[in-house]
Amino acid sequence: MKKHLFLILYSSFLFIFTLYLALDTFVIKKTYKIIEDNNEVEEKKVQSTITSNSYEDENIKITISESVISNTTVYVADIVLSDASYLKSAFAASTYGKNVVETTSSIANSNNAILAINGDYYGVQEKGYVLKNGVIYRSTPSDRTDLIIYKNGNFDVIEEKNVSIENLLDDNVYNLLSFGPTLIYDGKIQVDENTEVDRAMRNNPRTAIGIIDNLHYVFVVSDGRTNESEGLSLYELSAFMKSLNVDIAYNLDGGGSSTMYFNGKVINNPTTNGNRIKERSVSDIVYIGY
Amino acid sequence: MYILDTKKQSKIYLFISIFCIVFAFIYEHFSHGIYSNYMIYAFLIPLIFGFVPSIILTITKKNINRLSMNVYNASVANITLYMLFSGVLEIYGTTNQLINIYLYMTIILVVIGIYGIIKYDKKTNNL
Repeated sequence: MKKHLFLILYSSFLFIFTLYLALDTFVIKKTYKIIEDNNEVEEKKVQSTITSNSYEDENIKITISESVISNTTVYVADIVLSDASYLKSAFAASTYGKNVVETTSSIANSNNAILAINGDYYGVQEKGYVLKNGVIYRSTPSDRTDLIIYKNGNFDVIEEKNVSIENLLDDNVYNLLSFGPTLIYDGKIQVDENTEVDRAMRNNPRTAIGIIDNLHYVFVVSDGRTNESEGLSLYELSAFMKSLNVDIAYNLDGGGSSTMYFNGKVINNPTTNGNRIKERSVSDIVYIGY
Repeated sequence: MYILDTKKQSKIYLFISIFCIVFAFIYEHFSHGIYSNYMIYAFLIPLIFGFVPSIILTITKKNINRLSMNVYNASVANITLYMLFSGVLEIYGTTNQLINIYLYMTIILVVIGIYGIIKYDKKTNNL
């Protein structure tokens, strides 16, 4: 026993530490800030016309369409707003933290969203700017390219290493999404056929956001990993966004996270492994609502 | 007097290397085509820094004091786990600074190992 004491003790330490590392990475919830305002969102009463694939009131017009490209079903939400304040983002459980996640539909429901897509899953990263609805939550830069949404609703892209988040806030940036890559800029495709997110596979469910012109946006979600929809490469997604006449388009978290919520229900087929259609819990959403 | 069983040690390291290969293969099979070089090449750590030195020690019939051997093996274990877990993180698309503790522990173990080599008394085969 004494001969193997070091082996036993050190093996135990390694086992316990590795277990803790796994729990810290994937399970243990850490609340950094609770967002009070989102809990008090009330449904604004406006006269609206709602169909199975459209919503219209005096401030918001949404039209949902489906296309099939590259053996993949793609859902497009065409959005026209009277004011940029109806384009928002929200945290899971109204909490900025680590491993704080909910499904897109739960977050959307909590915020009375008319339309929502999954966001940039900031919670899975230790670095990278987090700026939601005019508030800075994380100012540690990463090497990513971000989509910034100004208070007037215009889009642009920035490199985090080139600008501080405080400067962005001073420049009236209201929301920021940190995932990428940029798909379209000035109407031109920015990826090539070999571009992929980190080491992801080429064909995936995808989520993207784009701006066509002033206060005119598109949310795009594609299915994937199933027999019915094999998924899109980033280049295919970019080409599709270009066909929508998008000026700037940006890739958001895809794979099992890709979810589009409209008028109270999920309208695409989110799946992680292709065997079961089920929403993945995510850390944040982008949505249209009051 | 402590005598290192290098044949047994070489077999254990070979088993660990094969385990790393199998683990990486199975993990990436279920990762929807996402891969990580950390995961793919993790097997090289126990193979190059464990199995090969054990074979050399077997052939040369050289003995190593217990402390140095223990800390060396612990270092190899640290780096192997670091590679495998880095692969898990990379495939998931996340990071965790705590993983560097494997490296910090390796540095501490190397210092202890060097101490063991300096203080090793060849006549008595003890520190």
